[in-house]
Amino acid sequence: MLKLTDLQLDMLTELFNLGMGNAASALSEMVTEEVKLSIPKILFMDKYELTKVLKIDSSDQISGVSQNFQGMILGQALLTFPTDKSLELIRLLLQDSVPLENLTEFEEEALTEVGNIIINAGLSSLADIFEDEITSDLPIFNTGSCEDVIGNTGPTSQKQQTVLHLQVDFSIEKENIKGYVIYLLDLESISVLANHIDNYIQKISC
Amino acid sequence: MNENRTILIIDDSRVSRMMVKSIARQNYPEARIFETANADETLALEITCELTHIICDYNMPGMDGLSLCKELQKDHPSSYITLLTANIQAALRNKAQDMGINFTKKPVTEERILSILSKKGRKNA
Repeated sequence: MLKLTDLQLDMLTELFNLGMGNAASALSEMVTEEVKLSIPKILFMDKYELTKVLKIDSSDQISGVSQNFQGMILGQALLTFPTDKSLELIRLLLQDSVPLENLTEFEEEALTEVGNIIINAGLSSLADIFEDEITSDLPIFNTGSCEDVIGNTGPTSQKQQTVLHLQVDFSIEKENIKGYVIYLLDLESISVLANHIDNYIQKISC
Repeated sequence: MNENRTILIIDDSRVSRMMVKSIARQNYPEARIFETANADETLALEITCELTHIICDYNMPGMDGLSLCKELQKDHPSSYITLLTANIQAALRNKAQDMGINFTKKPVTEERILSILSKKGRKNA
């Protein structure tokens, strides 16, 4: 199995940190509240193991926005948060744009747009650093158990495959809203990414 | 802010369109605002008046926003066209700028929309 060296992992963590910094900045602008981020976690595992790592009770309902991406690397990105907090999130997002009584009508669309902005902020940072391009499909909204939402992310054939799991936990402390941003890469893309990282390290070492 | 604005908002996200429209309405109450959700709807729309501003998303079902902007430039040569997108990659920004199209990153904020609406005429024209 492909393994990344300590230096490659360090570089990947730093890149992901940068990408998520942009994503947090975008979310913070949307909700006009401070958004806190955890240190990125990088793990190799399949998607079903992933649900255990997230430590979400299997009976808990979560909402998620997923987006497949391709270009220099191929994979899936997912933004998740507890379903019972989704209305809080869109209330912050839409503020005066929509009357309070109509908020639920816009729930799915608002959360999909939040996911689109956050996921793309992270991907754009990665593409820019390597001076390459990543294109993404349209975002898809899912709600259900943790297994349902994560299992529905990406092609069925990849569900059991080992993937690189990059995760950042975010929180809007004042509103007690917590969620995760996760990027899943298959082994081929990890290899491509490792090459990009090596080239970049070589460039900055000169 | 009394000058007339005729604005076309193109975005597959209804929420995004609403946010842009709300900011435009609050600051330019007299503005005429059209909205569509994708390229097909936009190209089918019969607009006989001159559009001062076109604000277009990039990632939409069907034709992407940049290709659509290229089409719109032909029929609306004097419009100030903006690509408003979550895809903030330098590669896309450069393509937009090469076409004389303003590039503004999402999320939608009042500051960003007012900055767009304060401009006039085709960028780089």
